[in-house]
Amino acid sequence: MNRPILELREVTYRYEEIVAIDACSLAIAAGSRVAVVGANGSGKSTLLMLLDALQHPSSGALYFDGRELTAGALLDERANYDFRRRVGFVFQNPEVQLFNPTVRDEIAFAPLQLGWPPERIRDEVEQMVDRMQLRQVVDRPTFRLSMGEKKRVAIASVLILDPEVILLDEPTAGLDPRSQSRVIDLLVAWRGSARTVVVATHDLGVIEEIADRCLVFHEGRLVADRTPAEILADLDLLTRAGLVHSHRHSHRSGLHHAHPHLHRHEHGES
Amino acid sequence: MAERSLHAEETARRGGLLQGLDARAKWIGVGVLVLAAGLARSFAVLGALFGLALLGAVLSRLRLRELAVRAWLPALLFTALVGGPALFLTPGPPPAGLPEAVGVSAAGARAVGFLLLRVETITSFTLLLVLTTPWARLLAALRSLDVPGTVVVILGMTYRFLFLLLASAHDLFLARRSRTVGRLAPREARQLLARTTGVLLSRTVNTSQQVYLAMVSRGFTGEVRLLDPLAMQGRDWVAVAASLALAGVAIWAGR
Repeated sequence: MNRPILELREVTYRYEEIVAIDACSLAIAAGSRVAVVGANGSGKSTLLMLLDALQHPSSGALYFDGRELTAGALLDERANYDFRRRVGFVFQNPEVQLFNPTVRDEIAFAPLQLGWPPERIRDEVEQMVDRMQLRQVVDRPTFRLSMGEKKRVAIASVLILDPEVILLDEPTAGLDPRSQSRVIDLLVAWRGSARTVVVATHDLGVIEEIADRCLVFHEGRLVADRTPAEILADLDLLTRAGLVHSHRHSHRSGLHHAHPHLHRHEHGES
Repeated sequence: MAERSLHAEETARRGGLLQGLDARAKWIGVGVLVLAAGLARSFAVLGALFGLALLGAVLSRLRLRELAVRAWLPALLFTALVGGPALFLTPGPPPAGLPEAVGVSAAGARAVGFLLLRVETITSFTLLLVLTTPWARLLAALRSLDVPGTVVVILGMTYRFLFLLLASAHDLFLARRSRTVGRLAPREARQLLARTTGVLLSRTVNTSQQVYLAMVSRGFTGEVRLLDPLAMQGRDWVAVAASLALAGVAIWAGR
């Protein structure tokens, strides 16, 4: 395993009385692709917020590249610059991530904050616009975009820094199949690069494509840490974690299920 | 509101007299002219300042109709609401040509007239600044003029908060309408309004916190940074000097 780029040691995070992350320890190797799965409210988003140092552990410690990340440590301008430059976070809801007047301004926001020279920012923005197929909407206000376009702009606004670590919270949520497929293609294309990718999702259908390691969270606890294939084969685990449910129904094919199972519904099936 | 804000960004990018000036020069110029309008005690001076604002709008290619809708009409309504009673409550003889039975005093009419002209002039100058300067440059200019970073961040977040508040309010209103059959009794309507307002505020506060975190995540530290940095040129200094001179004359003449 490569050196850990992010590491949690006995991290607990509470929202007032509610424990969102419970005594979690894990290490994420540089260059790995990790899927974090769990039902709604299992702690996936909180974990990503912690990994991006937007929230800090109530107890325990978080390490980035061997150094402990605390609120105090990020007050140091150089440390903050280094961390924000190397770690990018794509929020679940692109609405909260898009706050500039136009798509171009949005993509230029992060490099501007990090003090890149204007000429470099202009060049990089143009390249990113083409790469993410946003040329037609580049001067459009962000609130006039479709959800798929918003998501791509949100990803572009993080990718422009070319971060070593990318954290994505439900990147395909709320997207139509075509937009989903574009985002998944992008994630798949990152396989083989040196980039570390952590994706929180409850879409089990994509985790084998985009990840080589899968963490399962349930009620704030890390309950499994295996390969995606092993996780997908463990229906008891998936049922306990609320990722599949047990139900009784029949298919047109004549098959009958009365136990937890993982499958895709075809049109016309109940 | 989003459309209006977008329109303001568009007018700010048009070619025009004020659009070509540095944001700091505009802050200073508008600041001293607003001060002069606040201190002026002469109708002629206030009228001249109002005329100056009109001239600035025309030379900056702003539509006067837009100024009328966005500034003059609301200012007129506001002034009528606030100052209207003074027309009748201020003691003194009626204005020439108006019967005493109407109950309006000359002193009251003069006070309301001053208030109206002053508010219209100040609003026009302020709108000139906002409509000819992109929002990010306005904030960056404030920082450059040594306004504390906290104040600038609060202003910036307030701007974003307003958008979120209105978007949430719109969604909540639609969701409520889709589930309401018939008319509610006034008491029920008031209760629903109170509950909705509470939910709206807490939801918007939560979302605006998320927006702030998204900004921090991309390196935001409270400083407003621009792709084209602010730079005072010769014409900006001339504009500042001219504004100071005009404001000085207006304050002197309008004592």
